[in-house]
Amino acid sequence: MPSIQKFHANVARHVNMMDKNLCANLIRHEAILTTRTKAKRSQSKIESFLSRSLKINKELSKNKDDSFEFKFRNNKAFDYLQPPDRNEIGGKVIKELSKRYPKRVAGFTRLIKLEPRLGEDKAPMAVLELVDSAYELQFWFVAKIVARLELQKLKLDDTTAHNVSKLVAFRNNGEQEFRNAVEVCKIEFFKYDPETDTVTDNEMKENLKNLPSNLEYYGGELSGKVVVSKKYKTEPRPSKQETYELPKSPFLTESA
Amino acid sequence: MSLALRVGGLFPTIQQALRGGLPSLPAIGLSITLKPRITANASENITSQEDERLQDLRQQIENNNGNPPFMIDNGMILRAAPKKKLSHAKHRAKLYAPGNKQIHPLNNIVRCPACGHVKRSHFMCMNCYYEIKSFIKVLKRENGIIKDPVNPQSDLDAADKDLIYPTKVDRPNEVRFKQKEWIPVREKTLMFKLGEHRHTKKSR
Repeated sequence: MPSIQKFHANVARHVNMMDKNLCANLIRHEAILTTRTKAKRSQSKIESFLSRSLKINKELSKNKDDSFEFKFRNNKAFDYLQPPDRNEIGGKVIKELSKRYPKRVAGFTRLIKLEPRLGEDKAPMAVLELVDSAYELQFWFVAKIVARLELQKLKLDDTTAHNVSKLVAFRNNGEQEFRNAVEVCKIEFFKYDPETDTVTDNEMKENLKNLPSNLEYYGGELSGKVVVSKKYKTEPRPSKQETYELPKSPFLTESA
Repeated sequence: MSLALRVGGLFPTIQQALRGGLPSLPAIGLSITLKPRITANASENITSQEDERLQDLRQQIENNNGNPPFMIDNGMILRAAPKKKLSHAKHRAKLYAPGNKQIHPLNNIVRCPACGHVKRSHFMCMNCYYEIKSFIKVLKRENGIIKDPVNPQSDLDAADKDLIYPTKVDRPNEVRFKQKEWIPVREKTLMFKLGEHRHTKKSR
């Protein structure tokens, strides 16, 4: 039937437009809450847009004329966006994101899975967010984990330490910012009073008694062994600087 | 409700009836005493405790000269019934063929490291998500990213308000609109306790 064919053709165009709109809105708001399918589908498009536009921007800023107007006019990656969005989003990429991601080539976004939506359709949801922003969900979540462990007087386990290192690696002044966030989390989420060094809320005191089941992972015997395979006995790879003396070949003559 | 036979409406016991009505028969050593369940004295106390439906039934029996009514409805709604029995194959195909129709148990429940509540592994903890989301909103508001629209009449004097809107009362539909009860709210997650979940791997 012809009507069905038309419908398919329209969907393809609709999908492209949806990707463009999600791209613009993600950069505008730093994070968006959508269904998981949409988020997954648009993530690759957003990544390629950001990497391309930032790469071109880097090349253009080497030019003698590195004014905003020149960079904005000559960045062909902005053609992907819809005309009404170009001015705002292009401006944010040139002014803000180029400073935020000086070393990054890829991996500008993060997808966080959420529980299904309440209501009729029960659609699985996700949050798509720009990394290294001040309003990053994962950043505050990991800061909250560290704050909780510090209040419980436990050391960091391997997974949390790895997550912290990933968050801090490319962020501007990352370690200091993370430290500040942990202190804010203690006060904000755990009702901690820094002057008396105690948790004031009784309910929160009960909550903090809920410790992880195996404490050996938190600074005990099992720390540092989460990544190691328990199935196969593996040895660490030898360092490159070590030199090995090869045994002398029996076929060589003594004179040689 | 137990239906009792009304034997001996004329005679108090069967023995008397047998003796009076059929004198030629020898006395049979059978004695059935039909004890009335509701005595005259205790009837008021018991009837107050009884179910309303039973009282209705009793009234119907009394009106119908002691006979039970033609159809006893015990409070159920009579529904349309299927005309034919569903065959074994069709019944099983309907229930089990799609494969994902049944509700499966969650085997991936773990402790949230940030709040100690229950969460699914590889998913964001919803308890933490709502907390952090509201916190980030406050941060954005402080930094001027979220700008709330200011009501131009928010600083209206109380006396002026009475003068301008003398009989301002919310209608029932406006009250309901402000309550926003139609928005579903997620239940608060439970605290994680070891042994109360089913997990194939050893939990951490």
